Parts: sequence; C-alpha cells; structure tokens
Amino acid sequence: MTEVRRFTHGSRIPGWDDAVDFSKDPAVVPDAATTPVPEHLRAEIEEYMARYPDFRSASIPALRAAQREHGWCSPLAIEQTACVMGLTPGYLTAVGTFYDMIETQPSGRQAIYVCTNISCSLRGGDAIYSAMLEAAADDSDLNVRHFECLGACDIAPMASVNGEYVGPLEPSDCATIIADVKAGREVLPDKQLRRRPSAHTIAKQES
Amino acid sequence: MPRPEQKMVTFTLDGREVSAIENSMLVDGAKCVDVEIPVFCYDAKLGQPVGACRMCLVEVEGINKLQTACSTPIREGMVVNTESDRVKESQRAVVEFLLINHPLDCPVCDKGGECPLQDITFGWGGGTSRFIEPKRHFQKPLALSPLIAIDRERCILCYRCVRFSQEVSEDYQLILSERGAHSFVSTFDGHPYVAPFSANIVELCPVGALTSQAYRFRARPWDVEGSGSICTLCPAQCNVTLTVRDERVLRVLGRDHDEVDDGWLCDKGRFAYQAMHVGERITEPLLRDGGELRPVSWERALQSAISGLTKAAGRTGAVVGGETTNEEAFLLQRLMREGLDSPDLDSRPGGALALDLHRALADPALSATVVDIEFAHAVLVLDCEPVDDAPILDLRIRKGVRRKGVKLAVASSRPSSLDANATLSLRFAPGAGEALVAALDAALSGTGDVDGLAASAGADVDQVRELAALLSEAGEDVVVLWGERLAHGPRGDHAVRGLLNVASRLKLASADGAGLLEIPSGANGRGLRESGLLSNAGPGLGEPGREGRDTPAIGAALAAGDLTAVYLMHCDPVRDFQDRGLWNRALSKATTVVAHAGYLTEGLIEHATVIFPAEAYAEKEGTFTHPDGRIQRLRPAISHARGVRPEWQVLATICKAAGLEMTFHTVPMVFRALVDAVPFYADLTLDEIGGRGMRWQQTAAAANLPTASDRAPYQLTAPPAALTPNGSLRLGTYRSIWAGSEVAVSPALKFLIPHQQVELSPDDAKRIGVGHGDRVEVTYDGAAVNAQVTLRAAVPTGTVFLAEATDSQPANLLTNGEPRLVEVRPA
Repeated sequence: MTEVRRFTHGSRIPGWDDAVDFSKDPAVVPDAATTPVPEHLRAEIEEYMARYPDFRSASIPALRAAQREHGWCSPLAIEQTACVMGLTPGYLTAVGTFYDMIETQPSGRQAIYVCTNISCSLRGGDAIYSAMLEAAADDSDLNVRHFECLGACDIAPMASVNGEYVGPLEPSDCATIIADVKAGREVLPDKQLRRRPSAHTIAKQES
Repeated sequence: MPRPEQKMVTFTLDGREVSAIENSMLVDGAKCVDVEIPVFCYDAKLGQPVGACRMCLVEVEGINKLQTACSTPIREGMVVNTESDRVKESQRAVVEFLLINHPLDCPVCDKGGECPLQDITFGWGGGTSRFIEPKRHFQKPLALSPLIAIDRERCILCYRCVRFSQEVSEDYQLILSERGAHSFVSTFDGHPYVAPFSANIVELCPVGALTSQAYRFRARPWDVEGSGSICTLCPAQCNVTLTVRDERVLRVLGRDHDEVDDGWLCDKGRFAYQAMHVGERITEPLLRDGGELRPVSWERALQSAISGLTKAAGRTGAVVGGETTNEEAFLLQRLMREGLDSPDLDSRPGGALALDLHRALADPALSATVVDIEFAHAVLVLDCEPVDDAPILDLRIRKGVRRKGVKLAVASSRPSSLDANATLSLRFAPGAGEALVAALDAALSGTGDVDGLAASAGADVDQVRELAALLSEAGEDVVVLWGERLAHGPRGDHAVRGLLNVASRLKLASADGAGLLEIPSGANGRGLRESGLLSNAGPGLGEPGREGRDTPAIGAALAAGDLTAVYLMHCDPVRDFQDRGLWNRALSKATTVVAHAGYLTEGLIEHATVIFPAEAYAEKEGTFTHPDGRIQRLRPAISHARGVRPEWQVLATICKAAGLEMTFHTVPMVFRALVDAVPFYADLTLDEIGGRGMRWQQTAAAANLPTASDRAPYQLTAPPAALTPNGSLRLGTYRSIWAGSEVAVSPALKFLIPHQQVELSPDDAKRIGVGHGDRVEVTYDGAAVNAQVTLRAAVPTGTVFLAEATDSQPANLLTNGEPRLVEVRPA
C-alpha cells in the first residue's frame, strides 16, 4: 500500500489548499447558446432525464455518459452535462466527487478495480492489487485502483475489469488480465463471475 | 393559501409542562421556555433540518437512542430530557470531536467573541480533550470570492452555507466536494462564488470558516456597537443592524424581520456601506464657479441655491430619486408648491399616472404583503425582475415555490432568473406590457379579442390563455408582483387600467392573502407618492391644487426653456432616466440646477450649479414606506461626516428663505406634520412604528384613503401593436442590481460594476453574422451603443437587450421610454 502522508506535511486531499481563480466567471447554469454539446451525448442525457420523476435523479447516469464521451468527467464534460440538464456545474461536481466511479481527475479509460475489502483482503487482495499495479506499469490508458467491497465475496479475491467480475485471482493472473485488456480480448473467460455455475437454475442454464 | 393552522400541544421538558406549537421542532419549542439546546447546523431560516452536526441530541422517553432536537417534531405528551447524564455525555463528545481538528486561533479569528462554537464549547463542552496528535493544517485563508474568504481548517462541515446556496438562494454554486473526512466546501473547478446573495453564508457560518473580506480584522465584537436601521438601496428596504466602531460603519448584518426580508440580505446591501467612507463621497457643498464645481461654504451654497430658485419661482421643476425620506419629500413638495409656486414636481421617472388610478392601486383591500407571496396559491411576476429590482423578494418567491408549493408564473420581456422555478414563463415584446395585461384581461373575462391582443403584445396566445387558466384555477390567493415599468410611458394609465381589470377579474380585493404588490423604481417610491411628490397629487394622494408637469415633461420644458431651474433630489436624470440626450439638453439649458447627491455622477459633473452633500443612510433620520405600505424608521447610526448637514434642514432653510413658515426643530416634528397632511397615515406614531415598522393599511385611518371615482373593470382602448422586427430588433432594457454609485465606489463591490453587453438570441446573431464576445454597434437614429455580444438561448428572437446605468455606453443613449426598433451590426 502507498504510504499516506500525514497532515502535518500539508493536505492529502486535492482541493483543500486551493483558492478560487478570480479570472473565471461564476459557474452559473451554462447557456445553451454558448455551450456546444455533441448531439448523441445530449440525446443520451435527455433520455436518462426522462426516466425519473425528478430529472436531477439522472445526474449519475448523465455523468457516466459524459465520462464515456470525454474519458473522464473533465470540467468541459461537466459543463456539457450541466447545460443539457439545466443544472449548475457545481451541483454535478458535488455528485461526481462523491461517487468513486465518476472520475473527476484525468484517468485511464480501462477501469480495473481490485477489491481490497475484508473478504478479498483476507484471501490476498492486497497482493493482487500490488501485482496488478506492477503489471500495468505506467500505462496511462489503464485505471488500476483498489476498491471497497464490490459485492462478490464468493469469488474473493476478485477484481472488476471494465465491469467484468473475475475471480478468484492468483497474482499471476494479473499479467494476463492486463494483456487481455490491452489486446481488447475477453478477460480470463474461465474466471468470470457470470460464467460461474451457481445454485440458481436459470443462471445454470444460461452458462 | 390559508396560513397553516397552529395547534398548541403540551409536552414535558426537563420535568416541566410546556405548551408549544405541534410539529414545530424541539429546538424551537424549547426556546419558548428559555431552554437552550445547542445547535450548529440548524437554522429555522434554512428550511428542513438535516441533523448533520449531532450537537442537539436529547433524550426522548420511549425512544432508545438519543434524538436530534432540530429534527424531532413536538408531539402531544412527549417527555424530553435535555439534562440527563447521557445527553451531557453526548454533548461533550460531539464538542470534543468538533474540536479535534479545529485550530486554536480564536485570538486572531474574526468570529472570536461572537462564535457559536466558542459559546457552545464553553456552555456544553467537556473542557478537556484527549486528542494529542497534530491537528490538520492547511493553507488559509483562501479566497472563495472577492467578498468571502474561506478557512477550511475551521470548518466543522455543518452544511449551512451549502444549504443556503442550494435551497435558499438556489444558485447551486457552493458545494461540498468529496466525501466523509475528505469533504470540503468548494465550487466548480475553482470558479469564484459570486451571486447576488452570496455573503449571507458569512453570517450563517457558526464558526470562523467563512469571513467577509471587507470586515476581516477590522474590529472585535467587544469594541463595536450594533445599531438598527433599514437599508435604503432598493425598494425591499431590508432591516439591518449596522456594526459601528468609532463613528464608522464596518459591517451590515441582517436584522431578521419575517414580514420584510426573512433574515437575508443581498450583497449590495451588505457591502455598499463602504460607500459612506470613501474619498469619492461628496462631503461639502459644491458650487459651479467658472465652469468648475468647487467646494464652498454652506452659507454661500445655500445663498446661491436660494437666489437661483427664487429667481426662477414659477419656472422651477423638481425631480426626486428613491432615496429621499418621506419627511424630505414632504418638505420639498411644500417648497415647490407653496414656496416657489411651481407645481412641476415628480418622483416617477416614467411619467404621471392618473390620480384616480393611484388611489385605486392604494386600496388596502387590493394590496398584498410580502408574506402573502409566500402563502399564495399563485404568484404572477409581471414586467419586473425581482433579483434586480428588489432582490430580497426573489428569495421570498423561491421560498414560496420550494417550500409552500406556490405556483409561479413569470410574464416579462427579458428572460427571468425565476424561469426555472416557474410553472409558466411568458415572453412579450419590450414595452408591450399594456397589450399583455389587456390580453390577459380578455382571456380571463372571456370577452374580447385575445388573439389580436396577444399578437399586439408580441406574446404567444396559447401561453396567455394558459396563464389566465393558471391564475383563475390556482385558488383564491393570487399575488401579482408588478414593476413600475409597466406603468411607464404615455400609455401608463391604460396599462394600469388593464392591470386593475385583471385584479378585479381574479377578485383579488375580496381575498385576504391576494392582491397587487408593486415594485417601484425608487427605494422609497411608495412613500414619495404618498407624501405628495407627484405632479398630479398632493400629500395623501389628495388633489394637488394645481396640476404640474411630470418627469418627462419637466425635461422637455427645461430643454424648451419653459422651466429655468430644477431641483434634483438624489437623482441624476442623465444617468438614471430614459432619453439621455433630452436630459443633457435640459440640464445644460437650465440656469440653476440644485442637487442633493452623495457622489458626482456624469450629469451632475456636467450640469449641476449647486450640489448639497447627501447624507449616507446610516447618518439619516426619517421614515420610508415599503412597497406593501409598511412605514419603517431610518435611525442614525453614526454622526454626519464632517461637512454634511441633515438634508431636511437644508430643505427647511430653503423653505424659510422662500417665505414659508418653518417651525420644525427635529425630524419627528416633520413626521408629525406629514402625518397630519396624509389622512391615511393619521394613526401612525413613531413609537408605534418602532423597530419593526407598521403597515398603514392595518390602522383604522386606512379608511381615510381618498376613494377612486371610477372602479374596475374599465373599458380598455385598443393598445398599440408591438413593433414588428423585420430586419431590425426590438430594444429591451434592464437595470442590473449592481448599477448605482454605491456599488461603483465601494472597494469591495467594484468588481461587480455592470459593463454594457448586448444580449442577443443565437438566431439573430447568426443572421447578423456575429458570435459570442464580438463587438457590435446598436444604433437608433444616429445614436449608438457599442458593446460586446452575449449570446443567450433564452432571449426571444427579434429582441435585443441592453443594460441601463452602466459605467459606459448606457442604454438610455437610445431610449426615450417608448418601444423602439434598433439596428445591430458588427463594430
């Protein structure tokens, strides 16, 4: 695990030490006339908004859509989402920074989340995480991070690779996973959760 | 909407029987019997409690866990204990937790001495801490905006500021970023938090995390005094407490008054106090001598003014701005009418309104109060922008919509900041208010040509019908909040008749919580009219004796040489009124221009003969009348700046010199004379007005209001059709909340001075071939305004908007109060 810097050395939280920039205008609801939004992104967000009684409930799917479009929830991505939803970028930033799967800092497009919560940790999750980091090296397209419980303790230690749950993992699997991701192949087909025979009859038939 | 019924219930608090309002929160109920439950995050003004700070935990019998008193509603028979060991232990624990990372910089903290965290630690804390690790340290203070500094070490994450931004002012700019222990108050991507009401968060903050940049390190709470008064910068007349140290105002705080301001202030009201203590302020009389304005003695200035005015007796006009008190207005109208034999005086910039209509509008049955907005079934915002014209009403409307389910309809020319909250937003052509109310009247009555009238207004006929349906079906309590602008111009009478028709169709006079509420152009617009500062009405809306010229006519008469002198009380027509060209000609032609002014504005620099320094509102004594008829007292908080004299005395001196008998020694004596002259003020005394004000409609003397001879519904004449923008564009104007000398000279607010911008719809911009940020020239008949384009999707195609009273290139270069078509081309 990386060492956590102590508070005496300053803030470990990005943003705590930042003042605002007076050269910027106040972040009000972006005007449609001055904020171009890709048509397909607008359509997608509007579709999400139509799903809920209160359109603000669509904030999370809308941000995810913008994240897919831009690679991460950049200020531009947030402004575009805000423009379509008629909200301030601030409102969406509050939502975005709260949730882990919305990236408000530049990050790789390939999301590899290694669970290090209690069950996985007991079965060697931390070692998997280290091995994964090592296998990924410095590839900026890969977003490798440890994650709190992903809800698949039965396959601990596990990871979520672009949403595909795989496990139980050995440290040696990490190199394969990274290679599969880079090549755009299916990840460890024999260790995928959805292909795992389970007690559920329908799931069994499908697998 | 009928006010919610308040049922009293009895519950037991610390062994005592207490009666309190059912379903009110325990914290509030406890206050009734002087039991203080400590809170950080709770403030009744913020609406629904969140229970974030856990400071208010109490024991409720029958519930195993401790409950937050801020979010536990009182029920009959509840048994509550705030002093048991369990409660005390939890209070000590919460304080200990909050203090873990709170820095010990109270000696250099602005909040020190008036800090809830200090007080609660002292009152309910354990006195010791087991925390021996280093505290978190961050950069501090950091700027959150040019007005507000943030100190994140001190923040206890109570959410008050964020809740204000999201649920009260609804600007949604201030947020809590990140989660859990990482949470911090911030904005989107380092943008500053600049909004009309932003600095309320400084007053809300229960620790010293948010401090005012202007007040930082200026004083300690124990060496200042608070002095209650009212803010006179706009018609909302918020109640304020001025923080005074060594005869200087250092800060303005809200003085909560539910029926006026609901406890909030706008940033203009909060920071424009700085304008009292700046070098730009005029603090001695000025006299034009050899073409230059030079400081002179009071005697010489008075002598010049008196000789200039008396020489022009019978040929003098007076134009009055909104910061004039009722007493000054009363003296000035006597000076004009009795002393100088000139009936030409006016306080309405847009021209006279028939006396009968003034009386009809003042009818107590037809007048709505500020609180009515909050409890109405429906509110119609008509031809005004509350956030610019009377900012605090904007918050009241938002509160009504958010918390009480008020249905909001907005009918305006320019896109409104309330559109997002409105059930219905309707646009009409600038200056076509008359046609719009006529169309609405026709739609409500079911007779008349709604289609034709809506077309005349440049509005969508379906929307007009929807609006009529919304207003008539919402319920009996409908409040129409309308701007004086509707009644401006030569057809103002017709527009007001239409408005009164709408009011009578909706039966606003018969419902208690319904009515009309006008936002006048001037802060004391209503008081000035009732004190007799109208060309066609004496004090108390009485017959004027001799009818005089209204504001535009005074300008025209000066330009034509029919009037030779003019008295400008707190206004600069060149800057403030329509038709800059006319007023420039008028004032340059006048031989004597006497002005009362706080700051040198362009028209005064150019044309004034004598300028008397105006008192700052903190120096002034007198009364103001709120748009809903509440008479409020203005109390002096500091002594006059050296060289400034009370303006009522200046007026009295001139009155005396003009041959009037003046027996007044104090402002209350003038008030007495005013009350004697205004029949419907007859029951008012300064004692009864006190610190909270009093609505004259609630006194028995309200019956003395002269009644209108003619009643709604009136027979309306066909309104002129809105101009068709074929190729050229309709010109609309607005006045920003930040327009005005006080903002321009206050160091803290200077960054907000409005610059001219041309608001265009994307379609028009495309047709003209310009984009966002390009410079364009807006022209009318040879006159031009040159400014940058701001594209706004919500601007109706065919219309262009310019700001009034900007630092340069103001809209009144092009306007004369009538609808106009202008050309826009790339500059």
